Amino acid sequence: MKNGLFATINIGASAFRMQISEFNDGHERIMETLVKPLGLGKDTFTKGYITLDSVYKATNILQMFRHKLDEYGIKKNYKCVCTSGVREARNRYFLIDHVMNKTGLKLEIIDPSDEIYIKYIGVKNDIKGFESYEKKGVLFANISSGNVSINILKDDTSIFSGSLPYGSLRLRQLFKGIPIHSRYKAYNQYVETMFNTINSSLGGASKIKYLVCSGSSVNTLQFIFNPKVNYFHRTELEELYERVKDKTSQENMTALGIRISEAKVLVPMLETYLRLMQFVGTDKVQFSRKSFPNVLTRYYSNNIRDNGFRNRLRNTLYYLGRRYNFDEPHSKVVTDYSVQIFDALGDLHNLGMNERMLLEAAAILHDIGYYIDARMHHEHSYYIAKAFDMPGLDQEQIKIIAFLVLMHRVGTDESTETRLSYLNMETQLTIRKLVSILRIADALDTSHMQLVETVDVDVQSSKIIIKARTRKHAYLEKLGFDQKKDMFLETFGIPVELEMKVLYE
Amino acid sequence: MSDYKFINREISWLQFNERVLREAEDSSVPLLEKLKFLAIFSSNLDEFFMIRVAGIYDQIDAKYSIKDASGHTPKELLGKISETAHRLVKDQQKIFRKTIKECAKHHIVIQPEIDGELSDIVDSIFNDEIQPLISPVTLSAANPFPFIYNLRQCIFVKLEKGGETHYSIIIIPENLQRVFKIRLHRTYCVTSEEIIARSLPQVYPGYTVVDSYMLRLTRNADLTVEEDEAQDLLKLIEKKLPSRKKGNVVRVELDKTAPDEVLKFLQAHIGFDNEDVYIVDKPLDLTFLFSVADSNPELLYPEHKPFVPYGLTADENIFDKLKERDYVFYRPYHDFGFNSALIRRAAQDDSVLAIKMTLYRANRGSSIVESLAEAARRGKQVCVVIELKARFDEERNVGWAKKLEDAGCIVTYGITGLKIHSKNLLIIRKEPQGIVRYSYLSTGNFNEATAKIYTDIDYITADEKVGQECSNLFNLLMGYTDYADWHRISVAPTGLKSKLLSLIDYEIENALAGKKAEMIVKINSLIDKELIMKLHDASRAGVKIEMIIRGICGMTAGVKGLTENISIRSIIGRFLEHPRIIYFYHGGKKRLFISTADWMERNMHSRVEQLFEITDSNAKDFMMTILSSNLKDNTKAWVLEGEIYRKLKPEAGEAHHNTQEFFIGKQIGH
Repeated sequence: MKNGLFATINIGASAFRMQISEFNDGHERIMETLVKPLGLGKDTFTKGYITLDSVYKATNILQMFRHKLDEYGIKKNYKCVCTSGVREARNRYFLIDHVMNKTGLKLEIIDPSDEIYIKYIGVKNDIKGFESYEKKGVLFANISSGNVSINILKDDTSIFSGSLPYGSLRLRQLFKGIPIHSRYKAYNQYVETMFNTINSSLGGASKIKYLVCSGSSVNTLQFIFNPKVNYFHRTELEELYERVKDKTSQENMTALGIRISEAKVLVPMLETYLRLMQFVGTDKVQFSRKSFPNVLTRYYSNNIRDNGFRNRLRNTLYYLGRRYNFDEPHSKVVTDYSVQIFDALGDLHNLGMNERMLLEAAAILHDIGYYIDARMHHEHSYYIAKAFDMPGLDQEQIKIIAFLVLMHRVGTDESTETRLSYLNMETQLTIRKLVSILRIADALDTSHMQLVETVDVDVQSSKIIIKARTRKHAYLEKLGFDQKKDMFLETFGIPVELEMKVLYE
Repeated sequence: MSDYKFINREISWLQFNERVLREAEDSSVPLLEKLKFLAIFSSNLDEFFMIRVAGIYDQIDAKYSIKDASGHTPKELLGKISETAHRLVKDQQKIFRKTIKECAKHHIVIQPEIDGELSDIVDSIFNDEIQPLISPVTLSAANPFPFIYNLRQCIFVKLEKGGETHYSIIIIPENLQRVFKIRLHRTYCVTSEEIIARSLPQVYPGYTVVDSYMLRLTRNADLTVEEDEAQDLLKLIEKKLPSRKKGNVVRVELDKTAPDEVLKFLQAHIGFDNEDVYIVDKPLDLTFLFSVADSNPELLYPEHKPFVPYGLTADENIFDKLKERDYVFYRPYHDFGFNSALIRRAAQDDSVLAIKMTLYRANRGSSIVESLAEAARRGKQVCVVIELKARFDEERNVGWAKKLEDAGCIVTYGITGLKIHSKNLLIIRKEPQGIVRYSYLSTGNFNEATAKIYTDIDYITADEKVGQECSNLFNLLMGYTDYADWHRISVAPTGLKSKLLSLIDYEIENALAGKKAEMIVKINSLIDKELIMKLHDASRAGVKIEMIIRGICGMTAGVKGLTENISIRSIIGRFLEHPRIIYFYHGGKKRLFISTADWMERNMHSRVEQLFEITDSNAKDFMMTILSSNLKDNTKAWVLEGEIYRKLKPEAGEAHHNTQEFFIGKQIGH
């Protein structure tokens, strides 16, 4: 955890938000909270780009936020992240460049999975006992202007994760041509299709117990209901829905005292909430009172944690493997050996826990492509791994995992090298180091029969000796090892040898 | 609405100005201070005609004839105003005559007979200072009647040449000194128009000067879009009068000696009604008495020496001291110089990261403005929210803005359509234990000149929560955010009035439940209908309400079945009472607030104002001392009985209590 000041700017689809916090030994003091409405999403979701007028307005707001950073003398300790309103705009790089030139602020586009992950751990850190929800089944949804991001967890496994284009403002823009008295029916039909997507991805019934939501919609509902508890009940949402569904935004704004921007998205937002409750089969939707900028600030300043992430990742990868009918015992031993060799060679590779996690993930998934076809299974594993989405893993990490599974097989072709060459040198080197280890580990179960009982890694000055104790002669493992060891020498500049000893015969 | 009763704000304002005028005949007021009150009366009345009367004319011209809450149509109201204003001007003339006689006894001669040695000096003043500046316009086909600017003194001259009558006008230039003080064995105060009048033959060679008459016009001040009027009325005026000529004449002050033919001639050329004409003795426009009042310090209030309380000095340790407790300052009894020095210290302090400030009205050569510019030059972030709409101060305001911008300050002009009336300063400092925000909230402007004559409260605290809210306020004013959370501070136009209404409601609830319920309200004006109606309700419910309202009051007091539990008093004294302090019994919690807002529609709806709750017990005691002393005053207080004000006098055997004198001697904070 860092002490000192940290600022976060969040450029959302309907507003710009900024928070500055001071951290002192884990204690957070919120110094500033700023909100400036600007509907970038309105441009993006209808036109596909941000109009010039909005770019200038955005720059003006960010200039003011820059002043706030200067006020506190914050030079580097800030993050300025953009979500769907910018992410999906064709001219996003123009906006980023323009803002950089005019304000000196560096905007980063945040991946949907990062966005939901940050929101997710914000909620997790705020709701007591949330860890038990992860076991019993929880659907976490972030309903924002642009997207509805959903993460379903059960038995400490992420069984669904996705950012779906069903945000309230997007729906509103999509159906604005339909007369007000029947527009809610269009929302209803459209939202239904979102659940088709989820159901087809889940591939079967999974009992979920809790529904937890976040996003700007929660603020609106909090304002309307002013709840003493941290949940909204189905009946109050249903009553509200009946009251507002066929009214104009103006009428709803006046009746409820909310802002016009909130009134405009109220009906599609309620539609989504109610349908989510129906899907989960619950009468309560829980929420956290922590704002997104607050969570962002605590996240980027390393002041919140996601306990159990590694375990959840592992469970999720095995869950995925099982869906592809993978050879689980093989994956398990390759994973164990990979980690064991990685840990033993710390001085040689100089990599950290993040890379260890990526190696472990790749070891679990490396043969998943067999489900499609054995001959080119590494290629199939590659794209399955590449499509893997789990909040907490960013695109860069997923890319590395995908390359590891692609290259675990000897004889990678030219196209692999070409694809690899697009990555920066540092990433390429990390991949080569991890692949070298993965290949050795994979070789130790070439037969897929788990003949190796124990492995020791003997690090000597001139060579590395892998001492394997086997149940019986492991001919294929010896052969596989010899085929896969070369990359190790090329990468680390030291040979690796296999010393095999049969324990029982 | 019939259950409620209102007093018209213009009538009430005239009553206030009458109270000011009466100070000029109060025997306890030093002689030259009386002259100041006469001048204030004149200056106030000028503004009243330019803004308020002009507004009523606009309504009449737009054929708006709906009765206001007090039951007057604009036309009826204008009649009432004219009647009252004429009466008051007559009274002012009488008091002026009486006062200058007294002055003469003290060797200060105003409007002297000019002869002998004095005559020679006056002649040379005319030749050296005046003649080069004046340009008479003698009317003819080639020289039509000239445009006479607002509040500009003129001399209308009747001439003869070759048996023919000619008229000529001398518009006295704005840059000409109004009064010349000639110190011989006595001090003679001669106005420039008197000097010109006696030198007219020199101005018009070849003509015979038959007579001359003083003339002064008051025009619609071109600021007529009054934010406190009803919106529909404004729209109507705009619609009906698309080509309305701003600057229409609303008052004509004319020399008593002018014959009817002159009046008719002027009426034909300028265009005004009979009721707009104020026939007065020379001199017109008694604001020149401000310049006379410094003629003898012994005839003024004895100089009082403000002091810096709590043993504070704005040295390098001041921020540690400010962290120890909250501090309340009561100007002008406490020395505002400390507050200026604090800002200077902040500008020079290496740990200060940023300074933010609202500037509504500052004085010329303000050291505060200098300090802010210095802070910016030293690399601190300085944000200044300047209100350019401060009435009649526009030009000066623009001057600061440029100076501050040149020094590198971030200068903004607040929120479109809203005048910024809150007075805040925020100093942000990086200290070893983290960021500390020093908040300074005031009921008065950061103006070193008016700080000597206005009473106001300044509150300084390092309380983090208050710092957060002050920061929120600046973020709103600078346009950095559109939303903020409030706890100790309520801000107009979004939440201040509703906060007051809910606090009054709480008193009503308690009163109806048979519990103790009381409030004390010290403000400058009360005219907001909704608040008045709520106060009526509170009175009927049995809430005991004591109000100290210096100026306009749209509510009756002590009327059975209506306001019988309400007492209202107005204090007019040496200093201009300015702080707004509000107390609610609140079921024994005794909540105390200071505020920048008067209880007027414009303050509640068209300005950024603040209401700040004081929770520090010492500060609360201090506020209660001020309120109690105000309520005890029996020498400078006027009580409202129904719709009429009566000046209080100590009862037989009752001790005199003058609240302002009390605080001069009190040395509170030592």
